[in-house]
Amino acid sequence: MSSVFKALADPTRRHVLELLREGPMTAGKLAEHFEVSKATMSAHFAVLREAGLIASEKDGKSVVYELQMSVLEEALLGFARTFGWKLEEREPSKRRHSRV
Amino acid sequence: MSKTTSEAIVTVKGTVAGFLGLMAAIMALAVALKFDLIDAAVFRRTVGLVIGAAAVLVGNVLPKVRPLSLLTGSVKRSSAAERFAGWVLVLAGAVYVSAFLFLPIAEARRVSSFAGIVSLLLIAGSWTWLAVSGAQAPKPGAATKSRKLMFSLLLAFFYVFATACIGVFFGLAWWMVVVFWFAYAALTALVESRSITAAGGSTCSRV
Repeated sequence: MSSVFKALADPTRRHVLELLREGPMTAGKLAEHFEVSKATMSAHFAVLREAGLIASEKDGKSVVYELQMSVLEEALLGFARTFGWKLEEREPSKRRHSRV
Repeated sequence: MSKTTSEAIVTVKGTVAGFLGLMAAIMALAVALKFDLIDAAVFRRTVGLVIGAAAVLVGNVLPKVRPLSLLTGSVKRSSAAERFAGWVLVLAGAVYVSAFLFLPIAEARRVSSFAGIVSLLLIAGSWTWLAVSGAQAPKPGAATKSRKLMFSLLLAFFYVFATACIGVFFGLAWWMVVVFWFAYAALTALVESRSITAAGGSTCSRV
């Protein structure tokens, strides 16, 4: 369970989960939404996969990610998102995507 | 063994253990009732709590198990339907547990049964809509043995949950059992035929 909390603690990873709610996406498509290096994104994906929140599948040369969250984990994401927004309101500067 | 495979085995083992535990708990309660160790009200209340807790647990893991991938290849639509079913079952289970914890037994049976029937109708409606509205054939390889087993266990749980809810209002008529097993057989045949079609399709495209 601690790996789930660790995964949900980061705004970038929460944003990845939000994007995957729309449907499965390749690693490249997901990375386009963030201003971080591919290595950093890979590390974020690894944390999410380790926590069992996403599943990956190879499709030719690209890796496709899809959501694999239980109801409890989705509820936790909702709580984390709410508290995350409050933290971001305190910091009105440009949205920051942290490193792993 | 890959990590995904070992995780799937752990999930299947946990689910099978959960079902056996549920069965053992209800049988132990029935034996205790038979030997007058507990009275009928305690028996009914505890069985209600066990079924409600099972609904919460099954609803919680349902979006993770991805049972609808056996029926359709549209991951986006099937995962939305699975998430909806998961939330509905968790909420119905929570109502079930709360009713048997806090309400008088007669009231608890009515409230919990109503919540259970509404949740099952919502899930059936959502899944029927998914099947009817242009569902794609499932991906080849989606019908893994563990997924098929989880799908069968899920249907068995729906049967237990439905009979527990319907029994309060209507009693359990013999035709309900017959309808369930026919529906179960038809659904299993559909899953099998779809997985054969998906596998056959990929073979034909190579030829």
